[in-house]
Amino acid sequence: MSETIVEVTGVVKHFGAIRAVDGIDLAIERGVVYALLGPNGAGKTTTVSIIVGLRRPDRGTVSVFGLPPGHRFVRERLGVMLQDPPLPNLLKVWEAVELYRSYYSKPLSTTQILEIAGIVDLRDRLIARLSGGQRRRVALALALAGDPDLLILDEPTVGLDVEARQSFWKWADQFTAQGGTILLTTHYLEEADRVAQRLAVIAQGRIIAEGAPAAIKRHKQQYRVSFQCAQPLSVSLLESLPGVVSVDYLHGRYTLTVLRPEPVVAELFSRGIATDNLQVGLLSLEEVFLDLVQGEG
Amino acid sequence: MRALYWHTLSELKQLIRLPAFSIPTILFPLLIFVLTVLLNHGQFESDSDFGGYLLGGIAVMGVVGVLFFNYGVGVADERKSGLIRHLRTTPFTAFGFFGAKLIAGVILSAFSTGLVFMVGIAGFGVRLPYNLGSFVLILFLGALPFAAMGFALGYLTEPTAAVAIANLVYLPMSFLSGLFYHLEEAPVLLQRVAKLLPMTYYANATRTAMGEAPWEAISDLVRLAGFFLFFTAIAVWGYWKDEFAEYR
Repeated sequence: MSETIVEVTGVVKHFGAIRAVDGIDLAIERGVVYALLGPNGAGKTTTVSIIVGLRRPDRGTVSVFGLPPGHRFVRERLGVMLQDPPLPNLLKVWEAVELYRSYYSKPLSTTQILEIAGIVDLRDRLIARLSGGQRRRVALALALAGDPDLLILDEPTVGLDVEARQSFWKWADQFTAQGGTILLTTHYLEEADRVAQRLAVIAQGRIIAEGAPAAIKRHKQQYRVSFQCAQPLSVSLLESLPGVVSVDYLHGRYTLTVLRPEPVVAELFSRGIATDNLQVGLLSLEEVFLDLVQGEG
Repeated sequence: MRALYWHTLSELKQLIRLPAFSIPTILFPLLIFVLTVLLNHGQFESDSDFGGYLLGGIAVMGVVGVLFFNYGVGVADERKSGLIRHLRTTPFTAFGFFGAKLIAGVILSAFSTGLVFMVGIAGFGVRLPYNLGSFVLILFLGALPFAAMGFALGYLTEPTAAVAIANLVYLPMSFLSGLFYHLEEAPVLLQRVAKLLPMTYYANATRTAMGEAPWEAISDLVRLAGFFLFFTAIAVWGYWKDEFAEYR
């Protein structure tokens, strides 16, 4: 069942003296939402450009559906939404959809495309007169036109309103359930965490963490224990508890970053510290991400 | 085939919706034709061939305008906006892309030319070309160097520069090539300049093609073939730069 749709091996890409991509390996399986997560300038867009065949790597190999990127059969099964999506401004929405449908041998129906992208009501509008969010939806519609097996979206949700995001991800669930694959780039950690089954964190052209979001969080092996307390506590006392990495105090709330939560909680109770509103959890993806990226810098 | 149809149709719709395109390419030739006829009423009376002569020139002006603005400004714009880049991720082929441009160019040229001819015939008593088939063929062949110039412009300049250059070349060249007056009555310097311009030969070929001996246009067509090769080389270089140098 598991079938590798996109395989990237040892890809390096320079722009002049800048090493935009510095040895990236990726394997994206069929039926998953895969997120490339990283700060601006990390090399996400360059990586995506190489996968869709718009740029040639200096070194390394890329295969999509087992073929070289840009191959006609690949393009037939691929839907791409670029950053700042270029659109035929002087066409009406339905005309642009028809135009893009005509490029593919087995396109989705126009009605389906308009419905998924949530632009049925914009059908007869001139694209030049649409708002930024509406343009994004049209760009999404054009990416869907060929009924793709692989959808590649560069920063798909920048500029999409909440409603459009929700309806898109609802559709994306069905899409992947039926064997479709989505590769997206984002710097929204929360979104990557919520929608992606796998993600790769990219910084300075390299992958610094890869796996399921939960696994990446666990990878850090750190937890957060936070509580309020009526009596004042000394920070050095809290730091002396077993496995405590750091202590923060903000707005009456103590937050401890710890290797394992259980011994710390047990120690708090045994010392008779009256904790209030105690919370224990894994570090958020955002915290792990910041930590990873800063570690690289 | 479906892609070619839709791409051509979209091309036409977009151009018609763009006043910056439709005014200089369709309205200008018509306007200049009518104005020239009205201002040179005397010449019209004395020189029964002047109507045809003028009409040949205006037809050429319309066709060249369509090609400069469609291929030059159009391609520069599609490059800048990233549309051409995005097309490379779809199965749409270069064959379809240029095919659609070619067909759209032919349709719009036919429209522009047809319009001035209709006005000329209906309003000013100009005769229809003697042999319509060879007229159309020669009009088409003579247009090729200008199509190449258009693509060269489109692939080598930014959109704003493309509009400026297209206008800067198109209008003065139309005048310098003697589209609206008899070149042999013009100052010698002007005649010499006109000999360097491809539009002069295109206009000559077209006028010959309207007459009873269209095959005599061959000498002008041979010269135009030279211009065609020259500008095609530049256009191909521009295309190559865009297609491969940017795709690195």
